[in-house]
Amino acid sequence: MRKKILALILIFLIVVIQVSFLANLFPKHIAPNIILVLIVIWSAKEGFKKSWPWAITVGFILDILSLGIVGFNMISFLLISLQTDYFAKKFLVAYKTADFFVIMIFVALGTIVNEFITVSLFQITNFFSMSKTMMSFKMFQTGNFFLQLLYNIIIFIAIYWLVLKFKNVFQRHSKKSVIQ
Amino acid sequence: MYSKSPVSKIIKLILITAMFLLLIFFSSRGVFSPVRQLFLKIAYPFQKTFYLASEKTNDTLVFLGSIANLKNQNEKLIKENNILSAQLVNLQDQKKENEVFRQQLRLAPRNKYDLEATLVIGQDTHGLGSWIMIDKGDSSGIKTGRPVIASGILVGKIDEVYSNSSKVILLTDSLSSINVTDLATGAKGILVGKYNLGLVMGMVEQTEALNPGDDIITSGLGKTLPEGLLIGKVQQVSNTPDKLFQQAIIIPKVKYSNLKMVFVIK
Repeated sequence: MRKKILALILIFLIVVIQVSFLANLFPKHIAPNIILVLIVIWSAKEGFKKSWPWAITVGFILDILSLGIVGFNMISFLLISLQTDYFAKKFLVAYKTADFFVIMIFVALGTIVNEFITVSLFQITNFFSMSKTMMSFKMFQTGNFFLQLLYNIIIFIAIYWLVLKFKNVFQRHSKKSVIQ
Repeated sequence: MYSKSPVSKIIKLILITAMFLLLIFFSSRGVFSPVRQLFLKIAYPFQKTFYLASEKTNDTLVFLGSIANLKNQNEKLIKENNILSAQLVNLQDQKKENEVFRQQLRLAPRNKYDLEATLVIGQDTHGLGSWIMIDKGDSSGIKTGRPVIASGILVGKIDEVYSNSSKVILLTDSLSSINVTDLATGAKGILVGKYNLGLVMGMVEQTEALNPGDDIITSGLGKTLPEGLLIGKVQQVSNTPDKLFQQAIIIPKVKYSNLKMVFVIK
């Protein structure tokens, strides 16, 4: 329980950093999506069954704090988690020694899915809300999308080992608690 | 080994999809406002700190990038300073003239309103819509619908108010729509945002004149915004596809992505 509360506080802080620090630090407001990268790593390593509650929780917090419509990021992260788990079962076993590079490809796939879902939902809600300008916003705006993809891969390279280390510390801590 | 039937999987999928659609439906109707209020209250101190930290980091990065040019810039600035000192004397006279012009041109005087200075502490993370978050809310008397200006130029309206923060919908947002007029010719129209890409003044009758370079101000029609707030300049004029109206691309006078401090007209 204590572990979960700690993880929740950490997630909350990461979302705040994502929304207020990273979004402002990068030009054109295109910032690396740490949360997406974390969900991909988590889903690849732990599987969908363990990661989906976190995907929904973090999506909800992100939707709330980014002042967006609640549900957009929740759906996106849930599907990314499902997709990552599906591909992880197929490819991570076969290429276990190269899991770093395989997960990096999952991050790229996750970024594509995230762009597709958020832009589609945005267009649909916008269409039904009032402006009827569904087709005027282009998905995968070439420059912006590739920049986002690049940032996500860079942030993945930066945090991958850190997340694994953190995961090990967590596991060791919980094992000690069980023994005591 | 036990495996679930495809029917149960489909039912599960339909249920989950329906649940999310309901969530989105209720969210767009403000059902989550109290939850959002609570979360923003908790996040406010962190959000403000992180945002200001990012501003400082940005400034440091810009400074580091420009360090090589500092010597040249310094010499240039000394020269400019001498010129500016001379110009300052002239400006004192022009200030008086300006007051008279503002009255004649129907531009809103800067000291007419009760302004609340606010810091920008957040902005749209998706780049889909276009909004900023400011560090003043209900506790500072901010109300929904109030205009927000930067350097005397209208940038948006208050959309949602929380206890210590507010969401400002920028004019470039696709849901933004305001009544405007051409300062030089008096042509009236409606200014709408184009997904953070720019501003378009539409619904301008064919009989009215719109010229590139003209200043665009709020018309005050509809009483939602005061008259005479400057917005931007006409860049390009064209006809709508059905040729019923004219439309113009408007270039805002301020760069919305660089907003650091804005004022709410109370």
